[in-house]
Order: sequence, then structure tokens, then C-alpha cells
Amino acid sequence: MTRSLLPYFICALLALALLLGGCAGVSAAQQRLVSRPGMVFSDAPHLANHSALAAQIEPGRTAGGAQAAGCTACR
Amino acid sequence: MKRVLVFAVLGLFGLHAGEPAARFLGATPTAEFGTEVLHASDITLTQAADTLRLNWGETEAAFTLGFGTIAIDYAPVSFDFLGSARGRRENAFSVQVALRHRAGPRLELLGGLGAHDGFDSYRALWLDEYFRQRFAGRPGYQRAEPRGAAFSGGARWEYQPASGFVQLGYARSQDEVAPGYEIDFAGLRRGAESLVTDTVTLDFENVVTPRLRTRAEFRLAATSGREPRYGAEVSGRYALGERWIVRADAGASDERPTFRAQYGGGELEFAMTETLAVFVGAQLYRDTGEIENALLFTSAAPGLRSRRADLGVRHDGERLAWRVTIGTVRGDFAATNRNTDFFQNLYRDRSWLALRAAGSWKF
Repeated sequence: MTRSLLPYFICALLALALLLGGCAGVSAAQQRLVSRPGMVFSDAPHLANHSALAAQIEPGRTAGGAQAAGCTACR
Repeated sequence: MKRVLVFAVLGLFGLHAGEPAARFLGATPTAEFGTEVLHASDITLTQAADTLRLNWGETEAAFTLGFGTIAIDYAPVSFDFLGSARGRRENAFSVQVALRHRAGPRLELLGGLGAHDGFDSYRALWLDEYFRQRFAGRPGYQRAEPRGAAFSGGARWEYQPASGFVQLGYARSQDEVAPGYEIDFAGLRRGAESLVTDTVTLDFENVVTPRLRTRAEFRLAATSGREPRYGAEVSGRYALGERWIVRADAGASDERPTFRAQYGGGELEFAMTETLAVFVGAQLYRDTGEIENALLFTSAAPGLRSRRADLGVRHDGERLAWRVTIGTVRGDFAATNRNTDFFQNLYRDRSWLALRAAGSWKF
């Protein structure tokens, strides 16, 4: 993906999220499958896919911050 | 490594010590732990965290203590006559409090405070050792003592009952980092020592069909002295049937003038029993390398491509739940150029062994 495409990608993502959420309500009674532990987005450590160390070896996964530590010339 | 394991085991031991109390400070308690190890031939990273979560019904608080280690076998390049090989190990500690309060039938307010002490990456430690060997003792050199603090706030709105959520969050962190150094005729010059980062996130989570749950996240982070970094990530969970689940995610981040990163992957899960599931996954990642504006000398990372494969098992009991994952990550850096040749050993290709264990216990 080139840099110029990212804003379009983000806009499409947000539009899609709003569209899907706005037009497709699924009642709680129909949510048996999507409520299983492997289907939820959760902060619980045994359910989260988040790796605390991954940002050290794949820095683009983070949103920013102090990654430039120790570097004079890079920003 | 031993201290991390002890830390994790203490978390587990605490789960079974004495009679479990149904209430603690008037709240329903849950204990959580997570431990992670990344190991390569010359670098070992560990991270452990124990969390006590207290739920009063409308309000929930989570108190987390974290402990991590970074161990490196620092090795200068062959033409670095000022450097010498040296093993170095640093510890890092962190503490965090997170609050969640239900302010209405569909609205939750979120808040958090945190602080950490110690190096946050093996790269920062490697560069600190490089500068220490070169400049320690010179006027202007200071021993690095990286630390930081952060606070966050946000709101989560259930705009469609049980199937549509939007969450807006803001966080500010201030980090005292291990600075870099440059030397010229005017003497030693220290790089930025304090970085402030403001981050805004916007998340959408939706149950799109009875089998599909999605999440889309947009991030904007502004760090002092840098251009804003934009990021977006979309994730999906699809139930193929009663026993099979597919999970997929893709994301990208972008920072002017040239940093770009893309990543994505998938995971397939099979439920062996009501409470036991196994899963296998793979991820790909690539970036263009770190942004730098140096004319002669820089420690900025070159472009990176990596691929990851994982295998795991998860148990979901009524009170005890846990997950163990083992995997490998292969990272291939682009070649350094003449401006970054002093860091060939920092930015060399590595194969990592990745281990993760996590669990929770409801008292």
C-alpha cells in the first residue's frame, strides 16, 4: 500500500464499520456462536491476542511513543 | 528469566493460597497473569504481569504489576575499534490502575494511570551500550535512567444493543528515554531525553451476523519532535461451525515522511471439548524502516520483513481459564548502509522463539 492510499483505506474502514453496525443488528438471542471465548475481543490475558513484546521486534504495530529511545538522528 | 517465572508462579500460587474469598473489599475479585518470552541467539526478552480485577457491579478496577527483563550479548562490528563485546541485562518494572464505570444503560467511562521504570526495548539498551562504550566519562555524558508515566480516558457506547459498540479513547504518556549522542567540534551533544506522546483511538466493534464479529480501530499518535503516526487495524472472528473458528486481522501504520508498515495474519481454532481448544496461526509483517534525518550518521533501523507461526491451546473453565502458545518469528532486516554500518549486529536477521502463557481465576 502506498502512502497516498492509507487515508482512503482508513475512510473505507470507518465507513464499513459504521455501515455494518448500522444496518445489521443481531439480537442477543442469536449470538450464541459469537459469544464463545474464541470469538470475543477481550482484555483478559488468556483471550487477548496482544503480545507485550511484539512491538520490540515489529515496531509498526504500535501507534507511536518512545520507540525512538537511544536515537539521536531518527525521529 | 528466573525472576519472571517466579513472578508468574506467584500469580498462580496466589490463586490457590488459602480459602478463596467470594468478596474482597465488597467486590468480586478476579486474578489474572500473563508471561511472555522472546528468545534469539543473542537476545532474550521476558515480560510478566499480574492483575487483580475487582468488580463492584457498576464499577470495575484492575491493578496490574509488571516485571520485564532484557538480556543482550552486545557485539560491536569488526571495524569498531572503540567497542568491546559485553553481556548486559536490565530489569523493568511497571504499575497500572485501570477503571471502568457504567454511567448509563449503554455508556461506560474508562480511565487509567500507569508508570514504568527501565528500558522499554532491546534496541534502546543496545544503543545505550554503544554510546556508553564510546562516550562514558566525557563531559555531557549521563547514565541513562529511562522511565515514564501515562494516563488515559475514554468512553464506550453501546449504540446497538449487544451488537454495536463504539469506543473513543485518549492517552498521554511522558517518557524519559535513554538519549543518543553525537559529537562534533563543539563537544558531545545529547539527543532528546523526554518524549511526550498523545494518542487518540477510535474503535468499532460489531456483531455483523450470528457467526461474524468484527472490530475496526483507527489510531492517531503524536510524539514530540515527530510527525503524527496514523494507524488502522481491522479484525474479524468467524464461526465456521460449532467447533471451528477463523480469526483474521490486518493493519497498517504510516508516518511522514517515509515510514510505512503493514501486517496481517490468520488463526484457525478447533474446539476439542466444551472447554479445551487448540489453534494454529501465521502472521506477516513488513515496514520501510525507521525515519531518520541524519546526513552522516544514524542509528535508524532499516526496513524489516518478518513472519510468525504459532501453535496454542486454551482452556475455558467456569473459574479457571488459561492459554499457552509457542511459536517462531523470523525477522529479516534490509542491509544497512554506510550511515548505519556500526549497527550491523543490532539490525541483523534473527530467529526468535516465542512463548506465552496467560490465565485468569474467578474467586
